[in-house]
Amino acid sequence: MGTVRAMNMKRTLASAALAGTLALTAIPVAPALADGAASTRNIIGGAALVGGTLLIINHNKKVHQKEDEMASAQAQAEESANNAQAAYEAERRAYQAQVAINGEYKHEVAVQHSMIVQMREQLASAQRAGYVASAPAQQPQRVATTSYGWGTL
Amino acid sequence: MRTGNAPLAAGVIAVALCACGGGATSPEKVVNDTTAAVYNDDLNAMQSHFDDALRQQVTIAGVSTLSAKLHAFGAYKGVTQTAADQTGGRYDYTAAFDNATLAVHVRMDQDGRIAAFRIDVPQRVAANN
Repeated sequence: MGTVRAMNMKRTLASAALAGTLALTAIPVAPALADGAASTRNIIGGAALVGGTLLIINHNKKVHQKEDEMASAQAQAEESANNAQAAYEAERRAYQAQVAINGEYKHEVAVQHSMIVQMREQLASAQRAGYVASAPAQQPQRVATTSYGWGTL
Repeated sequence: MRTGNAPLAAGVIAVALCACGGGATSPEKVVNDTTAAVYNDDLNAMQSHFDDALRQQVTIAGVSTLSAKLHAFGAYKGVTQTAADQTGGRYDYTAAFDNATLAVHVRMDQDGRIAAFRIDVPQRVAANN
């Protein structure tokens, strides 16, 4: 938006300067030494022409400065966007790697669960066949004692 | 008639006397009395069942210590025989208390006196007292 406005302003000023120049050119120039009034008009017209030109140059200078600032800001914004994009890509890769690891864990748990189920079935089969006791036999509780008294047994 | 009944009466009396005397000297009664004497910290009653050799080993402090340990299990209730080897004079008993049952081992000499007397006390109680 700012660029378009500057361009329009520039175009308007250029048109005004061109119109002024043509108007001065169209006026028949009297000989310089004709009279004082003609000389005064010539001086005023030249000053106006120089003033318009300086105005246009100053305006162009400001426009270029503004364009440079905008370009710099845009470059910084693009750099920031690039950094954010790179960070996002790195984060995404890390997430995908974690998802892959989680998938491996899930697979390992499933395999181990399958093995446990299989071993339980084997144990139950062995217990039914009488090869393995269903529960360890209860051991009699022993209490450590100290012998008191007299004499030798 | 009178003369014929006299031997029979004498035999009955002799059997009755033997029955009474045998109960008084049984190892179980001796062990029970001795254990009760230890529990009651009664040195004289305890030593009355010991033979001469064992009597030499007894100390007043030893009896008091063992008595205190036995009191940790509550009141004394008596002994029950669990094993007997009459040839070797070895007898095993369980001594019942309110809160525990302890093993008692004795060795008897040929005269029916105690030649060795030992009680197994759990170590947690033995360490506390």
